[in-house]
Amino acid sequence: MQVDGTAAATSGDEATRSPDEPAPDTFLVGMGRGVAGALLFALPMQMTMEMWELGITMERWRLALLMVIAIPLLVGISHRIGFEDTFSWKDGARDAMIAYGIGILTSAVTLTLFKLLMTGMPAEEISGKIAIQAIPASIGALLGRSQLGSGKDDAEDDPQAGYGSELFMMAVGALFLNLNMAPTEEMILISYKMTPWHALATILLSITLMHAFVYAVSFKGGHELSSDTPWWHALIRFTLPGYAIALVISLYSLWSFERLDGVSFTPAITAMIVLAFPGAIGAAAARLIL
Amino acid sequence: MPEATKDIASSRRVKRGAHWIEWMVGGLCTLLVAALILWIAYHAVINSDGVPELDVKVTHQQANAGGSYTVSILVSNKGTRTAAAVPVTGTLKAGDKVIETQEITFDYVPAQSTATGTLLFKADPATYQLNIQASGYVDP
Repeated sequence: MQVDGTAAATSGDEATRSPDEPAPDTFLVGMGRGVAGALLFALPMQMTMEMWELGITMERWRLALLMVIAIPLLVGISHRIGFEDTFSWKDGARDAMIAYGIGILTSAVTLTLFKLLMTGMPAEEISGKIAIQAIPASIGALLGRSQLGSGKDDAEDDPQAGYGSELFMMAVGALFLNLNMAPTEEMILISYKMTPWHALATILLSITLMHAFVYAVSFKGGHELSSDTPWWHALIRFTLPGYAIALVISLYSLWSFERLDGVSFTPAITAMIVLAFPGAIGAAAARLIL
Repeated sequence: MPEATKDIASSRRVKRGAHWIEWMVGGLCTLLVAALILWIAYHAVINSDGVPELDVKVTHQQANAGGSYTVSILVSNKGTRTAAAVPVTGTLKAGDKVIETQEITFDYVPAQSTATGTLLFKADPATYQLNIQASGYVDP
């Protein structure tokens, strides 16, 4: 994302500033970026009918589980892409919770604006509608704070990216696109329309695109391996684990949004493959962008 | 060849060699994806031209406080294709005379899966003949 020379210059800048005391206006700018990120990433979901309905109908413990899972996820993202020079887990946790807060507040405001939240509604409905939107919005807030920013973060995250961190970022990318799409009826409708041959083609295309995105096409930032490494090394070590992660996250999202209730194994698997297609693209893109 | 590759790789941007954990995770995931592909391919070969086979069962009946009667039903699809927009009609009959008809529509009954719903009758289903059937479906 960032030209090397500029990146070096900005990291030089940072070294002169004490990391413990960011200027107050830096914090405000960060909050502003967080709000922008939350809106940018979550508005499509806030304007989706199924998401409003899920806020009411979703089983509360599945919603609670999703909200709890979001916490380590946010901390992990924050640690990995860290804004405002945060590289310790403590700072990561703080920034994650700020992002969560921004997510909850922006969701509450937009949903109120759309007249989806009104004073006469039961508390359970209001809290459910906000909670389900808060998760994508908070991820958006974190990404917004780093990605809409100066770009210094991009330069800093790469060197410390380990294998686990790579897989984690792929999971975040997959989850992000899946949260967008899993609530919609189209996901299961597509899987019902498909024959097993279509499903098979979807798997192969997902893997091919994922691999192409990260390695063959070799976007800037997407290439940890030397170009002399045999292609199948990257396929087995990164692309297939990435696809497996996309599959698992897709299954979790479908289950979470109650798309699998009463559904037997094979149709559930087909729906998982359908949703893992955008998931795979999201996972591959996350390795490039984040 | 692998030796040379490794040298060049480590001298460049790669900060780490391929740890054995990476190969283990990679291997497991390869197996998982291969199993998935084989499972789908197996189904592609044995039943790519199936049809829905719908069956409706009553699971529960009860009288409500408001004077209506609920009849909970379970629609199962034993076929290998999903049925969409499935209308389920419940008819109460006394001999040949139709007392009451109620209908609900299930958006989807996926292949080899079940869906549940409830019909609400004004008359007591226990005192009449209750006939419930799925009257058709749409291909999704």
